Amino acid sequence: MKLIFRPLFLGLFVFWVFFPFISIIIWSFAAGWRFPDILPAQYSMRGYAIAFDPNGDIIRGAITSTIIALIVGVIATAIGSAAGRAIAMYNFKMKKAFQFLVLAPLIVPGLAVTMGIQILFIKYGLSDTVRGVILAHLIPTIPYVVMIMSGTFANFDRAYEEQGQVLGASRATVLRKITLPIVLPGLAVSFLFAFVISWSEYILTLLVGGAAVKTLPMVLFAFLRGSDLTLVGAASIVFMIPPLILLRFTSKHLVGRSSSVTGLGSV
Amino acid sequence: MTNTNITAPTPSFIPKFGRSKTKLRERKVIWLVLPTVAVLVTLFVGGFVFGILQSVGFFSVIADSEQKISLDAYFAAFQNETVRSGIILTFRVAILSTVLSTVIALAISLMISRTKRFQSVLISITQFNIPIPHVVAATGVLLTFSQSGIVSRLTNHFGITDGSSDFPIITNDPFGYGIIMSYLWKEVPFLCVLILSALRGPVTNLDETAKTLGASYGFRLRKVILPYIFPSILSGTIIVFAFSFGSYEVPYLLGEPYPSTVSVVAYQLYTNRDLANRPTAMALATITSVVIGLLVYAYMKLTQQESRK
Amino acid sequence: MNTGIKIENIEKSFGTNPVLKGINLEVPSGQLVSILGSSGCGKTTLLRIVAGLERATSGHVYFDDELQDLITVEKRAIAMVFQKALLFPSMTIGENVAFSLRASKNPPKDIDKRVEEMLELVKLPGFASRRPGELSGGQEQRVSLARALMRNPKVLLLDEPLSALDANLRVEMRNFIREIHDSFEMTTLFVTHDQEEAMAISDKIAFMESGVLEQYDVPESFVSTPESRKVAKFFGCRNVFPGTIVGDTFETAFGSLALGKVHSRGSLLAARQEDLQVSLEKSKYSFEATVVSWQFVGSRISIQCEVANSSNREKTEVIVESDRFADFKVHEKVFVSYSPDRLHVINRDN
Repeated sequence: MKLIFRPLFLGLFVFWVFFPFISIIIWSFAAGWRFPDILPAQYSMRGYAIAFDPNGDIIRGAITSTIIALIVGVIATAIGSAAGRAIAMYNFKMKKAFQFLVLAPLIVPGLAVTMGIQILFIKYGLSDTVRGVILAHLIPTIPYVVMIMSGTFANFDRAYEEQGQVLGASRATVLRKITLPIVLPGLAVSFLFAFVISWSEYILTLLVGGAAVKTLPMVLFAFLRGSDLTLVGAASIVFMIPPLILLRFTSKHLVGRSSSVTGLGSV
Repeated sequence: MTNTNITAPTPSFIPKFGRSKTKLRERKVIWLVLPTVAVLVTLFVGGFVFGILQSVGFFSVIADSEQKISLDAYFAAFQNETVRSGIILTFRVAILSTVLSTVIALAISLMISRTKRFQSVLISITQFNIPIPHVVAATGVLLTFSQSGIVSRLTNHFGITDGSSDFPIITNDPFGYGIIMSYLWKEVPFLCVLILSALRGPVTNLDETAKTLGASYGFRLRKVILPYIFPSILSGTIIVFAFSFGSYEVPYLLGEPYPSTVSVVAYQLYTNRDLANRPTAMALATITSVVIGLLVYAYMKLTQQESRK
Repeated sequence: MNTGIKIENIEKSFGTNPVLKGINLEVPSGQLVSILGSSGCGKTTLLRIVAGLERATSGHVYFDDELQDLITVEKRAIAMVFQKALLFPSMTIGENVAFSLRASKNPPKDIDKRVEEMLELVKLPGFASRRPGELSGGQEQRVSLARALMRNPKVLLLDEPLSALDANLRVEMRNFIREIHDSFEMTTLFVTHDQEEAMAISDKIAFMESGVLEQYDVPESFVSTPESRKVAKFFGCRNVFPGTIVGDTFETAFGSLALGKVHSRGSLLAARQEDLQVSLEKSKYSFEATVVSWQFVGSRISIQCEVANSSNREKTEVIVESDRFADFKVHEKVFVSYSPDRLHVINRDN
């Protein structure tokens, strides 16, 4: 009895992970799917044709989202890593206050903060711009990067850098050739999180970008309000692809003995 | 001294490896810290502060020559029926999601860590959901569990239900089932990744030691493993709770238009044509932030007492 | 505590990598046996198999003729101390030491008293309420030992417990371990890479290299009668000469040496450098050589000599260690004298 308990549970878990995709995938290929049919009566690629139309909203939304998410990913990773390093390897005045500042955006809803800042955004012409959206996306992403990288740097042995310096390398060279390769897994995971958060972000983009900045989530939301579920299915699949590709490249760093995700476990 | 690259979940940001942390070169540290401070202070703190200011009447967008600074907005918020129901709904959804996802994630993680075959496959599967946007998760839940969703069609086919309206309403429902399901679907893998990382660290050596001292799995779990991974679980639940409480996308898609969770209500008030609702929206946002903050603080205090035992 | 350990034909491979190749070892009950070898020889793996933390690919482990293979770690009558003390960070020292008692089905009522007694035994009286972070390395290892002993095991397993400690602490601690072993009379397996440690406290040493048990004997044998070239080298014998036995002499490339003990077979001769002497005069058992160089080794001197081979093509190097001051010069012709009884012909060819 005990022997089947675990495989059963884990089997259920695996099923549960993939289950919601079944309906999305089927819908994406359906040419109308009336209740009470178990499977669509007819299939078509219409949804995908529209989804992959280079001039269509979906592709354009995807491009916008990609650009924004990439920029946000890079900036957040860069800024957050520096802060993570500071927290993990140095003592400084107001360190606790700084840590609190970094953690707070994880707890306070982004919506609250963005509603508040919108006045300033409008005043300084950041509203309805891609620049503004990028800035807004930094709020939820930087804290994740800081936590992940502070975990990574906590395990980083400064002796490696000192060794490099003692062999005559400049600070820049040490950073590039010694430090970066060692903390690369952490950076990869940080980038993954930052990218995915920005990629998925809806309400912040809506508030700041308005109708001017059309990212993929906004396009998808619009479709969800309509009744064309085939399109919704296809668009959802498109929506999932870039993050999954990114995951493929970083997954080995997510869980493991040298995992940087434990940085998230240090609130 | 070699760096063995084994992580230890640290109970605070302070590393335990005894590397000397130099207090000197504070100037250099400032450069590391400055960009983050700049961004977060202007955008986050600024946003928060401006939100509070607007909630008490500053920067009024009403073409009103009078600038009335008061707490009216807060009273208005509490008197607003939508807001009150919204708060109850949000608490219900957030607490249930957090508790359930933590319990399930812990169980799954422990099971996976004890499974030798297929372990890496299972770990890959848990990671799969993490990059999936919440919107897609919500879409999936909607298409699966709505009255015309796949489950309904199956039960109808097998005669368990009769027609789409016979299927129970668990999406866009007043209780929040759909919302909870969608949260769970994303939050369990997130927590699993956190917990599995913690389980892979130095705790395995401690577990081995405990085995050689004759402790059964249950005893080891209680006395060695869980106390050790507790900080990771704690941070995970805090993040999950805060997210469940304040999210917009999922309740918007899977909840009812009225009443909905606090973020949706706040946004509705904010974008309402009657601009007098702006301060109320800000007030609600501020209340939400404060409530979450207090709950997190209380939770941390309580669990710190627990871990000290 | 009368438990012998029998390790029967243990083989272990990690994937395609063979780590243990057929180990057979019997430890008489109540003895302290060291498993000695350099890193990677498989000694820790063997210990872990005895503990039950690893499963052997084939072979069996018996405690007193009782097959252990299917018994899980928790249920074996062992206790183990690792290289790192691994004290449970969420518990006090007292709780750590009491762990095995609390984990058992019927914890005794006087746990606190027993803990205090045990702590006194390891010379840490009153430490029960302290926390792991407050102790030094040596203290932590003693707590780890106390914690293991508390289980009252039939077999005590120690995996390089002293490797992480300072040199002088190591000497203290190894003697302490021997004392504890003697007073508890339990069968102990002690894994180490430190030859001196093994020699100092073991009843017998099991020397391993590359997954093979090279020699299993009392400590002195490894010095006086090494059973293979590897053993000879590991235990510091620097002169190993190939050759053949002819009657009661051993024919090497550079000449014939008289053998004191009777040897029937073998093609390697081990002559420990400290059993040789250099002098300017011939003696009954000696051969000519030329001094190449010499240096101080601690308070002794090590002299490198060369002997011309009979074929006159090559030279053989001979190392002599002596406590006499060098009263000869480099390139000087000297005589290396030996004592036939101290020469040992190695049976095995590797």
